[in-house]
Amino acid sequence: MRPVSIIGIGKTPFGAFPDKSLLDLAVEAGRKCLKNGNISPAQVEAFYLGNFAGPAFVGQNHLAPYVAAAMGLEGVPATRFEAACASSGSAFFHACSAVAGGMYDVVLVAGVEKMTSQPTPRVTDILASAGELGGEVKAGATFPSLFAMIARRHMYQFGTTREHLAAVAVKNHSNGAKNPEAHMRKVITMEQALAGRMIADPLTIYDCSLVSDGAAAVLLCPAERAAEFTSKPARVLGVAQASDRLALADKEDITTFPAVRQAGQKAYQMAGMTARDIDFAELHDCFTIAEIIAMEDLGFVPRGEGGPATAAGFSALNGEKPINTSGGLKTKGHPVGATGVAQICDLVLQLRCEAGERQLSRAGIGLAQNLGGSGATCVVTILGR
Amino acid sequence: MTLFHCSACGKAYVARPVYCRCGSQEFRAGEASGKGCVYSCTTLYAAAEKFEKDLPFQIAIIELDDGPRLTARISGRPVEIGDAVTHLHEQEGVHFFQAA
Ligand SMILES: [Zn+2]
Repeated sequence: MRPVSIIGIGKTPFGAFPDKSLLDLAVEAGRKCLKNGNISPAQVEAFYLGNFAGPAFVGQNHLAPYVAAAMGLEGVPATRFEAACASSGSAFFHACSAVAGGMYDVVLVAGVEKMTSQPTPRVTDILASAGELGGEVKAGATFPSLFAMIARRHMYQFGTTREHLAAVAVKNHSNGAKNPEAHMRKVITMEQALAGRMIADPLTIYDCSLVSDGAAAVLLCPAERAAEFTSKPARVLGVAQASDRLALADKEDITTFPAVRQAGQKAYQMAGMTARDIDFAELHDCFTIAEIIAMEDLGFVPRGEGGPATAAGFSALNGEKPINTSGGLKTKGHPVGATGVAQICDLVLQLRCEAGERQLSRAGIGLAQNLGGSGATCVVTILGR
Repeated sequence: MTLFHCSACGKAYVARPVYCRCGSQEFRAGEASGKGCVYSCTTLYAAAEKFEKDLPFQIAIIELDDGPRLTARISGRPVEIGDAVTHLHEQEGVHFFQAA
């Protein structure tokens, strides 16, 4: 297998953009990315698109060639990947596999979701369809309610508190306020987070990520060719995807995600690293409890200690292992299908020392963890310089 | 309530699976006690379109005494993790439980 590098990144701001269509967003991110990597559309050999629910949100199917043609990519293989919130993480994983295997040299990976054109109950409906239809969805479960049950069980088994959950929200709001492209740039206090409107007990509105529009893209090529295109390539040191059962009721223990542990272990193994080698991370904080569990499943802290570690500042911008310097899904925004690739873009910004006000002094090795649904897909990526 | 038991290894399922985890494809349906306890639960204050009329309502993952878990609705007084519950009825494929 050939080592793979990231030679370009491009992202739209995340937010609610009534005047921008799914196509507008995807093309904006793709074009920015091509420009960033000094690549012309004619040089791109394949296109991988992550998108969760374009057909349900905007009515368009067969999205990959639709987007590819609009970006000026003519005739190349164009394929859409769907893995709930890990859709573009999965597209990235498969694109890396194809470049590593020698199938292509220059590949564009994008992720896009246009969510705000639908009213909230409809959005909740569409998102819930990534749960298990026969049991969970039928009973009225929503994604917040599934993660609420995960949080309740984590509290029961490990003594995690609502203050621990709120500490994740306060930290990510503080980071997001420093990110000019974040959906919500607003610092909040612990008191505000705790007093938020209840969505599914114990999760308040401040424990939930945002419903956003947005797109992100990255360009890949074999590491040996990276210098042709950029002076600041990022190296894919490890990347892995794993899967699990959809329904929470079918899992032995809902306070841990086997797919996260498996993808993490494989990515660490590929990189020849352990959790200790990771300087910073973008973790999938679709809900505050998800960030806490990801810290534990990736070995950043022992099981049950994610909450107390967050409250003690372990994952703060100036902490031992900064997590979600972008503001995370919580404040940067969570256009579902764009999230996985957007996390990669945020790692690259830190690695290139282009993260502005939130730039870390030690940013040599970054990890991204992209979770689909309530843990049925996970993609973990480790990047270096 | 009805459960499906693998003819080879006896493992019980709430919905008839295609394959048992042991590899068998033979199942027999049988009546279960409907007794279990709450593995986790939450009260929803926001829901998908179809369920907005029911808000707020409680859902739970129930661990049945016969082994399998399922996602169910709770009727009557709210329950907590560890509470004993009994099966009340099934409506359009959704199981309702109440505190025992
Ligand atoms: Zn069996």
